[in-house]
Amino acid sequence: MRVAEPFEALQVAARRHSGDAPRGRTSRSPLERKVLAACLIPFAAVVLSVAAAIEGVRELAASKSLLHFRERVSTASAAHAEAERALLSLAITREHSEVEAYVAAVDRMRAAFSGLTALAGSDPVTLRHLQRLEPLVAGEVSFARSVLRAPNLANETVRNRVASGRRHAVASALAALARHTDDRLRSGFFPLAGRPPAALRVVLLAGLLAAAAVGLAGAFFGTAVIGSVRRLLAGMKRIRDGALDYRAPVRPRDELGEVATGFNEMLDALVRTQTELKQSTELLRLVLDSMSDAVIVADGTGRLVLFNRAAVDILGEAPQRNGPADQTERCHLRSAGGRAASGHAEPLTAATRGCCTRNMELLVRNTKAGQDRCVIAAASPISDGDTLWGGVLVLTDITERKLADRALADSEERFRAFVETTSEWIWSTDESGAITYSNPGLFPILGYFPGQVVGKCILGLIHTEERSRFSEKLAQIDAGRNGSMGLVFRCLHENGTERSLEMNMVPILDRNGVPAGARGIARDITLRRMAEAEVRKLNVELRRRIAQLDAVNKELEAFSYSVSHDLRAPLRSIDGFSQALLEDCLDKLDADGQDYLRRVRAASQRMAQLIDDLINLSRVARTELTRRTVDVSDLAACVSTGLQETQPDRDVVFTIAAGMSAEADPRLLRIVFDNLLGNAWKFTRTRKSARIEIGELWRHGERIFFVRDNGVGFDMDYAAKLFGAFQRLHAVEEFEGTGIGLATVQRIINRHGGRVWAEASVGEGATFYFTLS
Amino acid sequence: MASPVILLVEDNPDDAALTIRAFRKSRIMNEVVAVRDGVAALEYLFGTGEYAARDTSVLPQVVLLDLKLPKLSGLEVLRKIREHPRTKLLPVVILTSSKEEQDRMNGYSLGCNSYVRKPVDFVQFTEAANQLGLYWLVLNERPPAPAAP
Repeated sequence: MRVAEPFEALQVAARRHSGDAPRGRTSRSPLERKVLAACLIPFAAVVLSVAAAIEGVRELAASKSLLHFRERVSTASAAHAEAERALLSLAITREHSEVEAYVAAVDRMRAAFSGLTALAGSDPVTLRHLQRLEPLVAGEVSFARSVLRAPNLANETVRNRVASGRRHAVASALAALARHTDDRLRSGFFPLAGRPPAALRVVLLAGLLAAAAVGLAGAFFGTAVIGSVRRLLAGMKRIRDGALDYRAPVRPRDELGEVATGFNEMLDALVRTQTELKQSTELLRLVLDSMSDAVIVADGTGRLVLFNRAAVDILGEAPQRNGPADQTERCHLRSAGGRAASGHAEPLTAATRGCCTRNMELLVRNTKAGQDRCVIAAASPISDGDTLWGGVLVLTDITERKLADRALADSEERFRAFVETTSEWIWSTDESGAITYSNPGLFPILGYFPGQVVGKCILGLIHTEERSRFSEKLAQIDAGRNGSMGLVFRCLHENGTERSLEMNMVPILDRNGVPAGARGIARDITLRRMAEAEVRKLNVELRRRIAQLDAVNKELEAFSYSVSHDLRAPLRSIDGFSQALLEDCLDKLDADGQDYLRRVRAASQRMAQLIDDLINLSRVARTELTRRTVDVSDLAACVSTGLQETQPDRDVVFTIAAGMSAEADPRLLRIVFDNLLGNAWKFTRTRKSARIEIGELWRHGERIFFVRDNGVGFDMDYAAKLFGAFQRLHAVEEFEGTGIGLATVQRIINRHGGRVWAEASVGEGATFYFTLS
Repeated sequence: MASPVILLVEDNPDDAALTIRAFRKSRIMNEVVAVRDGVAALEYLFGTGEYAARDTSVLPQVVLLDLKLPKLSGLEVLRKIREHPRTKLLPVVILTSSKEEQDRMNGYSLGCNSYVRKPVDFVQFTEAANQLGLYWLVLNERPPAPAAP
């Protein structure tokens, strides 16, 4: 399952909120600006107030100075007035004392005037007044000096002087200055002159320091606030970047501390919520992934937002989140008919448009397996209140169920076919014994059609003498809840004849394991029964015959023994005494007599040979066949070596194929080779260079051994007689023999289940073939 | 001491005569004691009945034993010989017309020392008697005499 990271939304929100534009270090936030402004405004106010205070102090000092100036002006005016009066007195009285008074007054005036310039300040009108006054005062002073130096001459001069009215100029100038100064005092404004006093500087400095302190405190406070806010903002950025373990540093007893605490608590809550969200997301994922049904969720735009593992399993691959807009194509959905289910019919698209789908059977292409899977689709819209948010599609894979249903139907069909076509009678009954089902196999067995017996009691089909036993057996299998096999009952054919049926029966158990009837299968064994009786009879006969045969065999054995033992004794006597005659009475016998005796001996020896061969022949028939793997090449070599030793002077080349082997009785096979090689040896006697070949060949998947010689051969016209006992194709005088060897060979080969035959032509040699089953 | 005796157990007088003749022809001059049946053979060996007076300490050099005998068969005789401590090591050669496997098996099982088939051809028979005599009377060393009972 894939779920969009829930934190993404938070990040997006944070990004949106912060405007996402990267800010320079120097830029100011509004709050910073406000705080800075808040700091600067009182700072400016303090600075202005201090400046005003300073100005006030300075103005006060200036007023004091102007008053002092005015005082001097008054002093000068008074001194001038004194000097005038003294001069006038002088002119009148001529008294010398008046001179002195006059000079003293002028001196005072000069003294008062002299300090005025320093006190005048920067007022231009005042300075102009002073400039106009200065020569006037200087004239007065020089006049006073001249009066003092020539008091006698002074009368005229003083008079002139008084008469000239010059004195009035000084007085009026001083008066104008006084008036002007008074105006200034009244107006309260005049340019300052001189520095403020020390106390004023202290005040000014203190004011400045206070303003700076206020400004610094404001800046410090502002910076602290801004720093905290900036840290919070940085923290917010880190949180936005996913560092949820971030916590803002908290300074206690501070509103910002509270803000940070609140911020941290919010963060804790966020982490908790996120953890819970993760857990519930994980739980949802686990639940969805543990579902066997596929769940696919699309949002309103058709974009896949969630799918579980079962969806991947059913579709064979993860649906593409940004694949084609058409869900049909994306989920490889098709209608059950095989056509693509598109548009409104497609359940997920329909769900995102607000329509529900229930139990819609669809085909899904499993891209991995390349197979269609059959699913039941259900889809519902997902809404958040009134807002249609998307749709959820649930697919239940019913492929296996479908296959199972089909397999079940196939199986039922198959078994029905078996049951309907079998030659056995298959039936079932209810608990009362009434037939509830019978297959058509009943007809050939008992001559009824199923419809004739269904609903009737099964006992009606059983032979009257067998009915109680049948009921008993039914009760037994019900009681034991166990089937019963191979029961044989006699039943009644529709035509009234009796039939033997072999039945297997099992109880029908209901859901609670209580017997609710029986099922059975019955086979008509009437013919088999008859055949069995016949077989039994034949077996008895066979056993009797075997006993007879055993007796005959025993007799034959005794006979053989007797023949081999007792028939030989007289022969030995005939031969022995004939020889004795030949030896002891040779002088009394003529040539004929000797010839007759030799014939007697030859005949007796030939008869002994005949007896031996006959005994061998009968032994071959009697001895038990014991097969094992025989190295045929080795056996042939052994026999050929034996033959060569009997007549070492003969030139016979044996060619024996290597690696021949056979499953045979080794002793009997030895007799075969003794005879065949013996014959080849014998019938190549007339050949200068004889060749005898022993080999094998394969024909039609059968292994055939052969013994080939280049001897005298025989006429194929007589080949049929070759293997009969006592049959000979050559005169005894030509080639000795009893005519029993090949008969023995044939008997041995027959006992091995093989065949033996010969091909030859007169003078060209003979080939004997045989097989060993 | 007389040359060792050959005990010939043979019911057929012709065969007995021919056997003795064969020995003579082979210049085997040992005494051949011929008995007609198994009972007589045992009486000879154990000094009973007809041979009660015989010195049983002297055992034949070899016993030539036919299988098909009246009264007691050759195999029965062989069993008695092997059962008795004094005769159990006595060389016994079965000389018979039979070449039945069963007879050979029984003979060797009961402890015969050789099994020789009488050939019909008298020349071969003489040769066989010659070789038998040569072997058993000349080449073969007798087993040590058992301790006196």
